[in-house]
Amino acid sequence: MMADDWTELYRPQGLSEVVGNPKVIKDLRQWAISWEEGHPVHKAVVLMGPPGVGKTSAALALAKDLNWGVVEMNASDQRNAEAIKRVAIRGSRSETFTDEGEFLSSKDGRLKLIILDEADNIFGREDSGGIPAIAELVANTQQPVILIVNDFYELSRKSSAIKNSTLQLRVSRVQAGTMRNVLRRIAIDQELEVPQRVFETIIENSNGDMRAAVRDLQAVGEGNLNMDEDDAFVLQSRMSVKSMYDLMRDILHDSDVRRARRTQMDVDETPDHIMMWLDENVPLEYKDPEDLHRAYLHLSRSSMFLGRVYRRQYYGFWSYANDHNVIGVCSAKSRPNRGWVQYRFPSYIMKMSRSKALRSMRTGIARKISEHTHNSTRRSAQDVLPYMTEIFRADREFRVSMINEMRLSTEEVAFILEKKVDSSEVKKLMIESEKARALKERPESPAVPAVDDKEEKPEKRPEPKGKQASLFEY
Amino acid sequence: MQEIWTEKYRPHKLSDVVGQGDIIERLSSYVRSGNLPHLMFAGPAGTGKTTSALAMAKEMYGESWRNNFIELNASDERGIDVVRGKIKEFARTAPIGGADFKIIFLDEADALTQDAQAALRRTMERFSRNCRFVLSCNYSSKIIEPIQSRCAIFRFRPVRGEDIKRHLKTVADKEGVIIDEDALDAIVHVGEGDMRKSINSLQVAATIGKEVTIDVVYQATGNARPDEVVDMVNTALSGNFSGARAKLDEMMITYGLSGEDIIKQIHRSFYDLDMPDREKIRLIDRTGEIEFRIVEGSNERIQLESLLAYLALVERD
Repeated sequence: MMADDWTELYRPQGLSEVVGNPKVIKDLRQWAISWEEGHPVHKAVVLMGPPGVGKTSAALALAKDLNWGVVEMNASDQRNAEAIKRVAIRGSRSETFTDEGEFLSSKDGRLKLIILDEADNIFGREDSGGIPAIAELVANTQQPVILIVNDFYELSRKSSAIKNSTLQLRVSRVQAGTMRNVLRRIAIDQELEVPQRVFETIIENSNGDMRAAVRDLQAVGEGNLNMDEDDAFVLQSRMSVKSMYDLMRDILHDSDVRRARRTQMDVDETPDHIMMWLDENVPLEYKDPEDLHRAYLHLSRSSMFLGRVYRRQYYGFWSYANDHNVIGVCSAKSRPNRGWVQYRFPSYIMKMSRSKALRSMRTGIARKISEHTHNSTRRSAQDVLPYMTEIFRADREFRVSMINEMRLSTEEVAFILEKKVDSSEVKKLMIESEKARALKERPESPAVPAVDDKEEKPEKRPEPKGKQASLFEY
Repeated sequence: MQEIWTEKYRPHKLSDVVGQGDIIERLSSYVRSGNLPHLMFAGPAGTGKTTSALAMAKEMYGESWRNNFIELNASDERGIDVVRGKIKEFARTAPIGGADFKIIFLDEADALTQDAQAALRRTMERFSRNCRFVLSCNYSSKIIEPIQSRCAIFRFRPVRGEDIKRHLKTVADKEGVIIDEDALDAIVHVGEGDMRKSINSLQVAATIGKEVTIDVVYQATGNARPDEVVDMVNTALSGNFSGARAKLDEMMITYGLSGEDIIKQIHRSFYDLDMPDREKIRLIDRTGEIEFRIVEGSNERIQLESLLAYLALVERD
């Protein structure tokens, strides 16, 4: 009938409609009341939890309940310091306009809820300064602020201000029973007859993600007036992660090579992805070192075929990679493992994506070193950075001089020292090197009239005097 | 301490370059004659390739060396097109200060692919009227033959222990660092003929105290460069595959080491292993096969893991 998105259509209209997590809802309401009364202990709340459990819904519902305005930013916005300052801080200070532009006197102006959605996504991007801006916001805001994150760890590690001055509420996955009730209500509203089996499959696949469950219900249910049990299977085959677990069991736990092959063909996954999954899980099942070694011989071969696919852009080699993955690894075991093993998503992929920001920070520093030491970035990262880090941590004079010579940023200094960006140590050090630079520059700039001295902005740094840098500018 | 000592004490004159006697003599005679063929400096890290090129330029051009010398890094500049663009720009103008030619120093030339090297060869030809190329690389064999045949090749050897020691002493004296004989030997041992590494070790040790002893050296180098690869290899050999793999991930993820770097270090670590040589050569052969597979373009982590799984097997029988 209608192309409405059910996840929007059935979004809770008030806090009482938000399902699950009663304690979080209670705390959130209490925090809001403290703002209404004008004495919030915490100016900002962090809602943390997995996707689709109602974090954004709860924030929006809260605003609705209390008739607050809403200023919303999410990761798709340009999340740099400027943008946050512009929208969030200005929005928070001006009490006289609603977001619709409606005029209100500051006295009876409504509060405005500032929602920073996906606030943990600020990492690994070219938006340095974003974290200090958030820290400033949560400390100085005149309006209630909610930060929404999947993973709070990174954010809290980078800034103690964000960690210490916010109220953190952990939103848990929605329980099956709760989910069943919601899905039933939606089904009734849509006048759908949904077989029990379909409900259960949706719930099982969703893994506590309410939004995913509603989306799936819409996927099988919309316009489908004669739903039957088979519709559940349509869903199941779309859920490739689940099938990947099945494939792991068939290859690693059992010894029926033919069935493993069948499962592999049912699973819509590329051999390189299957290889990564096997790589993660082989050691959990193959406890005999002989078995493990044999399995890795096949993964190694599989990876060679994949390399050839990549080089020649000839996908014919995929089948050989698949056979090494399935037949090779499955037959590598001398006997099936009896114990039960919980398979895991490839941790390497996760670790790599989590450490992306770290790695790009390292590369950035190495690039600065390389301009200074007649080296490549790679060699600087490997041969110079480890030593420089040690000297840097141990010697004050060296720190100050290197910060100025290489023009290291606050974030980079914090990274080298393994301290937080807004820690007093890093702050002091940056001020100190600022002073040292000012002192050093003065006698060297006779071209600048003395009058301008005072006005010189600290950001104005001279071009580096390093030998190689000037060569490259040729 | 205000500077990185490798920079502070980088020689400005050819005669001050340590431990490459014959090469330095040849380069000095080029300077005297005012003429230069294309050169290739091959050799391991920290043996004086860049330093010699810089010193040669300074002696050749004096004050105006910066105008007549450009330093490019093949592994940093993205692709041969960027390198060629910079070379073109640089070669366009005439040498300054009465010189006949300019010098283009291309560091890590072996980082260029075969195709890029072929392009480089044409560039070299095009600009050889007023430019000389000095290419530096770890292995001259990684450079295509047409380029090799156009260059005089100099092989920089690892700097001898006594030469490194003498130089470290000079640096220590100038910095007011007291260092005993044992400590010097320790640095030399860890440095493996790499002057940069040796001086870096000395500087880190000097931050711990003005009196550098052997314990201080090992503390310093251990902090800066813990021997993670040896650690990983031993963990694998003890049969603990998962433990070894965790260390591998740490190196690749946190320290950003490439598979090729790690496999080379693994290879080196085998020399010190306590096992029969016949066994050892089997490990080494296997390592070579793994490196081949990595170079061929397969997934380097999977390959290294398969080597670890092999090591986990070895010690058992």
